[in-house]
Formats: sequence, C-alpha cells, structure tokens
Amino acid sequence: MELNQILEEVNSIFCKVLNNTAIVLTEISTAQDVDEWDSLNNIRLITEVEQHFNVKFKLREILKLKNVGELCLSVQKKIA
Amino acid sequence: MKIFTHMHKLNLLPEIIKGICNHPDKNAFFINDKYYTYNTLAEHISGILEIIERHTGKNPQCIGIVEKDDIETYASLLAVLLSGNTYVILNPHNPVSRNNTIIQSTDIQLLLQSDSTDLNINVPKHLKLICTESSSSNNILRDLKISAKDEDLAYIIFTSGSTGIPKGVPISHRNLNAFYEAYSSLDFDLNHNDRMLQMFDLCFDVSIVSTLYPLTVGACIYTIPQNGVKYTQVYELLEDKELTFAAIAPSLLSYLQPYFEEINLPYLKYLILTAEASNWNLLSQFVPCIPNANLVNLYGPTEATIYCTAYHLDPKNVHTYNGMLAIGKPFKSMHTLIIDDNLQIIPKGEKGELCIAGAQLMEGYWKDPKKSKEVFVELNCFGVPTRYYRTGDICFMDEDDCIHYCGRKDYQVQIQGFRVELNEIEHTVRQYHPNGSNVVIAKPNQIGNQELHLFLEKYEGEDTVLMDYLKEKLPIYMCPKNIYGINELPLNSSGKIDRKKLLESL
Repeated sequence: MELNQILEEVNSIFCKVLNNTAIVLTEISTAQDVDEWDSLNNIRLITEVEQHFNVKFKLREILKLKNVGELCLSVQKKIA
Repeated sequence: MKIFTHMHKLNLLPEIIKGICNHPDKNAFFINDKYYTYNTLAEHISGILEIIERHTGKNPQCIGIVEKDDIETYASLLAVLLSGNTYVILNPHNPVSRNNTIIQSTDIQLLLQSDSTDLNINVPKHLKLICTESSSSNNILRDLKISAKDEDLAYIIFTSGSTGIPKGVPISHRNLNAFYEAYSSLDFDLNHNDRMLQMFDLCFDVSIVSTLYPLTVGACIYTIPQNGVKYTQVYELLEDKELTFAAIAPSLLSYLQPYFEEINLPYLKYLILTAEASNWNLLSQFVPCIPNANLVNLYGPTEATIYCTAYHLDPKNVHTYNGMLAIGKPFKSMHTLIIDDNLQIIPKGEKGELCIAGAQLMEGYWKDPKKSKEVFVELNCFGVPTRYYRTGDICFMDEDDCIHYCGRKDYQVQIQGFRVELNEIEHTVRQYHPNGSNVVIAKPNQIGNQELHLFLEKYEGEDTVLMDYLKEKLPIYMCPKNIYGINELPLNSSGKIDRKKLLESL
C-alpha cells in the first residue's frame, strides 16, 4: 500500500478516536502537535491502527516511533 | 490528651547528609537522560542553601518551589529541608488561582524556580523569585548544622478539598522522622548499587519517599517528567536501566497490560503498589514479568505522612476483598481502629471507618481549625484517650489482623434506603469485563435521588448484555442507570482515577 494511502487512513482513525474531525496529520506530526493525543489516548490509537490494518506492534516498536510518518512506514512494512 | 511521643533512633536529614557525603562519585539522579553524581547534587544543594540564607531570616518560613523535572528542583527541595524551612511545591500546570491561593495562604516570600520559563503564577510584588539554574557552590554539607526542630514543618502538601479550596497538610520533622524510622523497619534490602524509580509529581507526597529514601542509602533515583506519556517512559526506564525498586500507581499496569507478554524485568527486587486500590487479578498477570520482585502494597493518607500501613504479598496466599489487595498492618509508630458512625469500635470482620493515631499524624490542617476539628476524634487507645484521624476510608480487619480497604466513605451512597458501596458494583463489573478498568459514579438526579452511572474502558459489547449480567449478580438498586464506554478513564496528577472529572462530565 502507498504511504499516502496509509497516512490518509491513519488520519481518519485519529479523527475518530480523538473525536475531532479537524485533525490533519503529516508525516512529521507528533503527540506535541495534536492536543488530544496524550498518554491516555496513545494506546487506544495504536490499538485502532492495529485492528484497522490487521497488524500488531510490540511495545518496543511503539516506543521507537518518533512521528506519524514512522508509524505509517512501520504499518507499510508489516502489511507488505 | 495523650499524644504519641517517640524517641527516634533514626532522623532522616542526618541520614540523607551521610548518604550524600559517603557516595560522592556515585550517581544520585538520572533525569532526562543525564546522570548527576552525589557530589554534583551536593554542590547544587550548597549553592541553593546560600540563596536561601541570603533571602531568609532566622525564623523558619515557607519557601515555594516551582515543580520541574530537573536537578535544581530536587536540590531545592533538599536545600529547603536542610535549611530548616518548609517547602511548598507549586505546579506550573495548576490553575493560576490555585497557585495564588497557596502562595497567599502560606505567606511565601521566596520562590525558587529552576529556569526562567513562563510561570502560571501571578507573582505578587513582595515575592522574591530566584532562578536556581546552574547555582552551584563548594560542598558544605559535611559541616552543615541541621537547625530544624522536631516541631518545625518540613513541608506543606496541598490536596484538593471537596469545597474546591485546597487543604494544606503540614508535616513536621517529627512526623517525617517517625515515618522514616517505620519505613526503614520494613527492611528493604537496598544499598548504593540500587536503582530506584521516582514517577510521582512532587505535589503528591509519595514522591517524597521516592526521592528522599534512596539518598539515605546512596542509591540512584530515576525520575519521570510530569505530564509526559508516563507509562511508556516508566517501562523503558525499568527495562533499560534495570531498575531494582519501583513504587507505582496500579493504573500504570492497566496501560501496560496489552504488552505484559513482552515485559521481562528480572532485576526488579521490589514493586510497591500505592496511590490507589490495587487489583490482584491485574497484578497477578504482571507477576511473571517480575520474577524476582517482592510485592508490597502501601497505604496512607497524606495527613499521616505518606504511608502508614503495609501489606507484604505472598502470591500463594493473597488477602483480597472485592478483588482488591489488603492494605495490611499499621506501621510501628501508628495505631489503627475501625469505628462505626457512633464512634464505637466495631468487632473484627465488620466494616467501618478506619481511624489512625501515632507519631506520623499531622497536628491539623494549615490555618483551618474548623476542618481539623472535623477529622480528628478522641478515642481510647489501650484505655488512654488519644487523638485519632478519621480517614474517611471504609475498612475491615480480617481473621489474620490484616486490614482491608473497601472504598471511600464518600463512595458509599444511600439508594432507596439501602447502603451501597460503589466498589462492590465495580468489582462485579470487573468480573464480567476484566480487561478494562471501570468506575461507578453516583449523582443525585433532579429530585435528589442518587443515580448510578458506570464508566467502562475498552468495552465493545452490548450495554444490555452487561446490564443483564449485573441484574443477575446484584440487587436491582445497585444496577447502574447508564453505561458509558470510554477510551481510557481520566487520571488526576496523582495517578488516581479522576472521579471528580467523571462526575462533572455527567
């Protein structure tokens, strides 16, 4: 799957989970850029992404993700 | 009235100085990816002691410290204690009005801040705001004369009052020393090779023991920044730095639960559960991740200096009630009683309000004699009238003299004339849905009758199915009126479930 496509789908997951349709993610977005993206929502977001793409992250992998771009790349590798 | 008097063999501050001076080249802190040795810590403390001396008079006073995760903030806390003054933590994330109320009420004249970033505080004109950044001086600790007297206040912690006005809990050096001696006698096997976690906000008193105790043994303290994505950072520290001692809030475990299979922490010698009731089912799933750890559940209200009961877990024979771990037996300088609404001591096995007395107990709330009067009660302790603190916690004592926490008195509500413990409903929900936390909130409806609302994490099933289950297990008046699915239950700055926020959301 194209990275753009993944980003778009991740974006809609964020909007749904964080209940804010105005969120626009880019590859360099981080938790600092999205108000509602806090420790409480983090696991929920990851879980939704996992379910949507039918992939599974290890805790270690989640910790290493620096931004949304890396999340999408990681998804891309897993579904390839 | 008898007040417990107690000759302390151990005093905290001299032991901290010994710990600092005996391990100059060992690491004292690991903060934000950087190590600081005990010598560096001593130099920071010495520098800040000079500042304090320049700006304060002979009489002890309250000194404000702006909370931040850096060496200067921790050194400030220690310097204020060693100078014989009283420290008061101000959290820059608190509302301005709250910080101003605290500054006014404690008459803070000197405020220490580790950097010059913007404060969420309206600094009054008379107040001296001193930046402690890179203030460092030759180590003077070895020759420092500790001037604090037993009755002088070590710190004042502000807790949220039910009226919205923060309540100040003043803790004296006598209280702190009694705590230190009792805590030491729990016999943790710790020394200068140990690596210990400090994950709590400094406004929360559990942070005090997580910070001060390691210094007495020369261990290294690993801190967590406030307001970060805490649970992942705690996990990283525990694993990467091979921490040997960690006091955590149980809510941390519910975040990590999906990843328990990956977690392996063989170096952890002690896991302390604190801050809120601890769910044994969840903890037991975590036990394989910490094969060499002793588990201890510690309980205590801020008013009785950090912790005052301890329960050492034997995983083969666990004492629980409603699925929650027992809080165990009182510390050695403390005495507990369980009483009914008529202040009568009740028999073993029956539930009532836990009352505690002893050397760790505060004298009274800061400048609030009315509130103090409400929480203290004179009861007989071995025939001697003694001042007890009413914790507001519903507890009972089991056959093994082990105390069980059943919930807050405030969480006990009358519904259609029945006394209902919200925790019992939560326990029942947990049996049906163990993979997410849940909270039941009672709120009076328009005609003043209590109605129950259930907030439930990670639940994808039908409300009606859950409701049918509850109706099978509970009397109808205990079944919640509404069920709300929620991504994650909100936590307050102490890591406890924020019931107030949930109530407000209704």
